[in-house]
Amino acid sequence: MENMPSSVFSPSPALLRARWLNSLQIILLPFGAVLAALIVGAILIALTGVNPFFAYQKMWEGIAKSNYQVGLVLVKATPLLIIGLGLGFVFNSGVFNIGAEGQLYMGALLGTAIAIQDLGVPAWLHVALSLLGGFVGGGLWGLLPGYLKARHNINEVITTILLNYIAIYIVSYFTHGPLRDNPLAEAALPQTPQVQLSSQLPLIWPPTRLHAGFPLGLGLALVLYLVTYRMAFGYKARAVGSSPAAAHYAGMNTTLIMVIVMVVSGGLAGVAGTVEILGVQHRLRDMFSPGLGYSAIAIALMGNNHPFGILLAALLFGALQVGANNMQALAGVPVTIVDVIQATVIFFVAVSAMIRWRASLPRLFRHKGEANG
Amino acid sequence: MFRKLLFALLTLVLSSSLAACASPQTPTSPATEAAQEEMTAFRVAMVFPGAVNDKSWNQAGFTGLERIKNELGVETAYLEQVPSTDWEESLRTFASQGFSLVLGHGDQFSEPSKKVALEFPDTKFVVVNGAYTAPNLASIALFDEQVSFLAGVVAAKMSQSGKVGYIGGLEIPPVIRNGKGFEQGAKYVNPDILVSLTYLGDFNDAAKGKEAALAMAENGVDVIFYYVDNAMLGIQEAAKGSNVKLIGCIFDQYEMAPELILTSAIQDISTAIFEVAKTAKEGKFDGKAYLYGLDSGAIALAPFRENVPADVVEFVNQVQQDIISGKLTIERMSQ
Repeated sequence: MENMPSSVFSPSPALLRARWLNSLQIILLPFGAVLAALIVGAILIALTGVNPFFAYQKMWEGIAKSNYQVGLVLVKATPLLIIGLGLGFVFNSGVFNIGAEGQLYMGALLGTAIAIQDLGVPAWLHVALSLLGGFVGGGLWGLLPGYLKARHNINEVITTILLNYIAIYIVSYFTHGPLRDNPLAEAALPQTPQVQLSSQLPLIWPPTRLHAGFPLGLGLALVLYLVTYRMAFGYKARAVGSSPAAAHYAGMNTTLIMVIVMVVSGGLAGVAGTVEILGVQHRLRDMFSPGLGYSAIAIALMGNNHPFGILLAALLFGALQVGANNMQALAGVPVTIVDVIQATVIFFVAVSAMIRWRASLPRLFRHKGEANG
Repeated sequence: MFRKLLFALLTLVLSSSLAACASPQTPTSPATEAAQEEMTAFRVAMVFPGAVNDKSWNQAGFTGLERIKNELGVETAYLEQVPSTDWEESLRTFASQGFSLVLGHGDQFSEPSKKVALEFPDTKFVVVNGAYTAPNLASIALFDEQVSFLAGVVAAKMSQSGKVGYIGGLEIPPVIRNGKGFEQGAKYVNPDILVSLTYLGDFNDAAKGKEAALAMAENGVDVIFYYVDNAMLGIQEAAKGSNVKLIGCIFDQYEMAPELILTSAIQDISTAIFEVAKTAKEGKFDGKAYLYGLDSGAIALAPFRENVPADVVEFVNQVQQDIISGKLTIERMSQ
């Protein structure tokens, strides 16, 4: 009975209650995590001699004082959202891709290499080609560990972390060497030339900095939701995540599925890197990412690997980042304390994800039978 | 599955701490509740690419900002360790908060400032070693050639062999400028003097510094002016064994090797930063390339000690007077 589509039957009161509790948990735990981190942060801020209420007031103003600040939050959330979507997708299949940072760099490299060329094509095509380049660059960087994992069972956590370093230094090589902009200029920085105007993402909410990358991220969230929860492939991918052996026994090509989800995840990280270049930075610089690929892991966890949850988590992190920046600039909170607060948020998010996961254990089978109906 | 999740979480914590090293920006200093009332008051903000206690470039800039706060009595704020993702936005943060003067500490802020200066025409922007100017955007730099010219004069006066040397770190504009100034100064005293110029390709490699200094000593060079960081330790070691005197750089290095150092070509960017803020506070800000020379005090030779004869000191002082009065002009290397 458990494996029958539940929609055939009316759900039992116990099931409804469990479902309700589960949703409540999914919503409340992340908020609890952030609240706990803010309380710890307030204590630390007070210890540095700054009034925590004043600091948090500046933080809030940084997030919501004006349209401009709101636009900034969305800009910061954009790369986190796109990477997070890919990570949620791959985590659902039980593959722990820690390599989004490297995939982001490789995607940005290929995407930028296309974006700086004068192709003489319409802007929409130039943007599309650059983003495609980003997907291919990141996707290839995900393909490698995906293949090693699926085919040779080599732990993807190790390989993806190591590949991060390789990717970052490959980009260093290109920004110092072949793609470097005018190395003879006074104190020239290791960076590529500016991307062509035709490949820059348009600003969509002037005078804020919001660019077309954000709606692109929203669209991707919808697509991933449909793929994961409304298409056969998503069902299979989640089945592989729950039990690779069972999925294999059921006749699924688990090897292929693992490789595909890794390529999609890497590709989306690559798209995120390219979006950041085309929409914000307009040049690829040495060490250009402040750890976006790592922050996105926390975002996927916080969003429960669900595209819409990831959207909310990315917005929250974007807001925290912009707000924290404002708090530093205008309330005089030392940078080290701000880093500690941000790390504390991630810590509590990780803990709450663990609590949620353990709480769901006894209901695992029933929950699954219901969710897949 | 559980073990795997645990592993992933551990990894997450580890990797986020890694990321934190490479990661964002910034603190700051005081903004008070009075901020709102002081929207019209003169306030200065500065953005640093690195940590303000790095005992190097960023710290020198931060010293300037501290002087602005203490000596001009104005409110200041700053962001440090700002990653490239936020260069532009950090300038905008301060401009949008009504700061009167926003400084970017380093050439990397040239392009971001040019953009943001257009958006905030009422805010003054300054980029240290910047490349652009606009009505509300200035760049400030030190006139390195002037002080290295004086170093060349000292070297030529003190050399008995008629051979002097210059050891630079990387072959980049500021280092090249110091070498050129040194050469001109030495030839000003003695047109026939032999000046050897060497670039180590590294600011901190003491072994390379020692090698270069020994090679010069073997060729008869007896005064060396260097423009390096930690590589100076190798140069000093080599000088100890040979009959070579040294001229230091950036700050007064006499205490490091009293028997070797004749003087130092002090190049203090914090004074330039302070001066430009003072100018702006007095309402005399101009969107131009400010060049701080011997007259500003931002560059100077360190005080002479007993190892330099009085007649040399007198001669050098005269040259310095001539430069300041404009009687003697020194070419600025084109950028």
